[in-house]
Amino acid sequence: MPDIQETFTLPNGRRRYLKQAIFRFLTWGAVILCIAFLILLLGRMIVQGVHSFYHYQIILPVHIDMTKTDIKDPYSPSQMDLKIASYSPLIQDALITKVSSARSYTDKKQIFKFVSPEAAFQLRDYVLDNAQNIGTIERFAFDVASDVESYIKYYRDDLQTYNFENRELKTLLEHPATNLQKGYGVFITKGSFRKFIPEMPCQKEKKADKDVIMCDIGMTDKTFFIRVSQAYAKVNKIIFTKEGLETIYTTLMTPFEAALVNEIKNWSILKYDIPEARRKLGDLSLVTVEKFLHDGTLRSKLPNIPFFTNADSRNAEQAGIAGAFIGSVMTLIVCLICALPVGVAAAVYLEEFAPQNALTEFFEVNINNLASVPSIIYGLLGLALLLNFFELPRSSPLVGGIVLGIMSLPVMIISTRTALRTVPNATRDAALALGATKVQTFFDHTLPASIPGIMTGAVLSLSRAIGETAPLLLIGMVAFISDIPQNIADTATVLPVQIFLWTENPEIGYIERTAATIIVLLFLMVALNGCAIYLRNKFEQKY
Amino acid sequence: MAVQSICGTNLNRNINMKQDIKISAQDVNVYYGEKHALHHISIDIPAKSVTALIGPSGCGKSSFLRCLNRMNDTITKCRVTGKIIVADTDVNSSKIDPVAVRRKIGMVFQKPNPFPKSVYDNVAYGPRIHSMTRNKKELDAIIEDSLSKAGLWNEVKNNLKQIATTLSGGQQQRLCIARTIAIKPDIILMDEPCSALDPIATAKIEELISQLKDHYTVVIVTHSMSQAQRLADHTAFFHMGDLIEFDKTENIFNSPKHNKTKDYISGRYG
Repeated sequence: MPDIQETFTLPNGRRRYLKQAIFRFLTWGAVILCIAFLILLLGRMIVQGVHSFYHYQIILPVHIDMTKTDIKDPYSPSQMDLKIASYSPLIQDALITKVSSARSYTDKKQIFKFVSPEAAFQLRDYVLDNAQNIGTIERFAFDVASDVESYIKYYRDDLQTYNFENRELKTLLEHPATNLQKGYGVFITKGSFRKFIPEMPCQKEKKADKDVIMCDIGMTDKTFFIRVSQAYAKVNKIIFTKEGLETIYTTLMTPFEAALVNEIKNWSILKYDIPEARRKLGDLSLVTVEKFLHDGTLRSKLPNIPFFTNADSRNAEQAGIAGAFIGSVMTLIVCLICALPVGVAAAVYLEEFAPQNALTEFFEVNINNLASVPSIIYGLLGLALLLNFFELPRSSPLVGGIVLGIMSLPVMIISTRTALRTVPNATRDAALALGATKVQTFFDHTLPASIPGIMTGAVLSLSRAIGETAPLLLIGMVAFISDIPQNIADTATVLPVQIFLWTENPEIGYIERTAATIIVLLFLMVALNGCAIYLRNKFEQKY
Repeated sequence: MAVQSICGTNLNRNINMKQDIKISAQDVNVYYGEKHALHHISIDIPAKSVTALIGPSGCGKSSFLRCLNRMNDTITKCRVTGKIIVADTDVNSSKIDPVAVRRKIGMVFQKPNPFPKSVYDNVAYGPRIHSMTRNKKELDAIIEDSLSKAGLWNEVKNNLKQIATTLSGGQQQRLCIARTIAIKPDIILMDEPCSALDPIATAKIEELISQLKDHYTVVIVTHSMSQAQRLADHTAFFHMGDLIEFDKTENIFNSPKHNKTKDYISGRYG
């Protein structure tokens, strides 16, 4: 009798299980790698794109004073005059009222740049609709210019704040009244700036028989501000004495009367590591952003409505995806209208009616070949045939949809044939044996049973078409288009092409919009695929 | 009879010729592409009776059955020659519309194949496409009649809306028979109707078939010799594409003339 132990020992068992373990590990690794890439991609997109879903608005009371504009007859303006008037002076006045310390030309220019150039049109549209409000003061929420917006979103984190409580700061402002203007102020404190000495080029000097250290901030690449409640002063020079006293020479950036108590206990140092010359925003803008954020003049708004309702724009803060989205939808509808009936009909003929001979076999092979033709070839076809021969409108969803439709046809035919093949022959036989004709059998039984498969195939080929860029580049859908298309013959662009266009733009506002558009496109595709799964489950029949 | 004498053995000599001949196949050949599947079959199937076709797998009995209502037309590369005379008409002629043939010669398949629709719609489909009824009342009457004849009425009458595929296998097959009866055919062809069913369901179907022969001519392909014995009035034995023997069932099983028949019914092969 053989040993039981031996009977149930697998020959080469260890080796075989080792192989199995290695193989399992490799396949598991492949799955993990795929998931890791996916998470990396999605994470990157979300981190970058999330800033595009909110934006900043600036709340301004604007005095609608037409005498300030270039209008001919400001007291009884005609509708035409109101239309062509320049409204920027009104907005500029409103800004200057807010930032009273901006007196010089360069300061004013900085402040004017807070508001998007679109604001003037927004104001114009308001005045055209509400002429009775001319002369009154109205509150508006304007979009913030993209430079300011991207500073708040991305660079303001670099502004470090050091708060002091119960540390004395003396002011040596001699003429408070005159210092309401942009002027100079001197402060004295003790041991507050000492820790920054290593970061500054300082030199020892003898002053009044004392050894002092003098640091000229203007020579460094740092920017320091002193903040007392909401009054700001830019630090120019600091003199450290041995006793620890620090004399700070500053330029006052905002009116300082609020701080004109002699003994200031609570105050802050703000430090920014990039000097003014290398920033898009000047010192005054930085300070103004802080003030505006504090008093609510600047506020963030979720969602970023212009991003979803505007078409492309040369101003990043105004650029939106509505144009591309509508273009995509139109293109898809044209694509569906072109591809679905033709594709399904061709598949039905090949699957249900065609005789099996060399010719149909030739067709079948070539349809399969067409499915693997690079999509840009279809773009060339569209260019040569639709644009040059039929002279259809360039850059239009019509042509784009036809090209994508032709591109989707082979896939549509293949998926429809697969769907038809899943209908059991027993069902067809049952109908035929009852005396139904082929057409009755098809419409009464085969088609209803294969509808979920056909729909799934159609939706999946649509979701391939929606992400297609290459063929559209060749038919001119790659132009900058700042209008939302009204019909399928208008010039338009589509979401993936919009992404392609924005990636060429180095401005940070466009970068975040690119990422946000990718998120929107991904959501759209997930929605389409979810739709396919839903359709399949809903209409699935069991045999 | 002239045709039969040309094309080989006259196998019909033992049939009581007083009985009406419903189907008369004359020199029927079936080819699947190059393959010659049925050779020169000539057979006269009597009316209002059950005729069983038996034989080992691949002997061509199903192919022959499908010839009778032109179902072989749906198979590409299948070619049928010869004459199949039903009511003085050659239904195998290319001039005859196969749809019209199937309208009169119904078929029940091996595997129950109800449409994935309600029980009602399954039975109603035939009458509807042939516009057999003028109103819903008539249609309802046909449906009740067909389901009753198929012995299914009592089981489904309370829930005609249920999806047919939720029925049990035996019920599905009886539904398929009801569906076939609903278009009022003359002949019902059955291709191993019980092979996918359990013994109880099989017994019900068999009972049903023996009732059906009062009104219809039934031709049934079966693998079960006991079933053929129980049901059939006549039995034909096919082997390798040839019709070996065709006689009254008791003659086939009790005194087969041919050695191959004897071997087969005694279970030596097949």
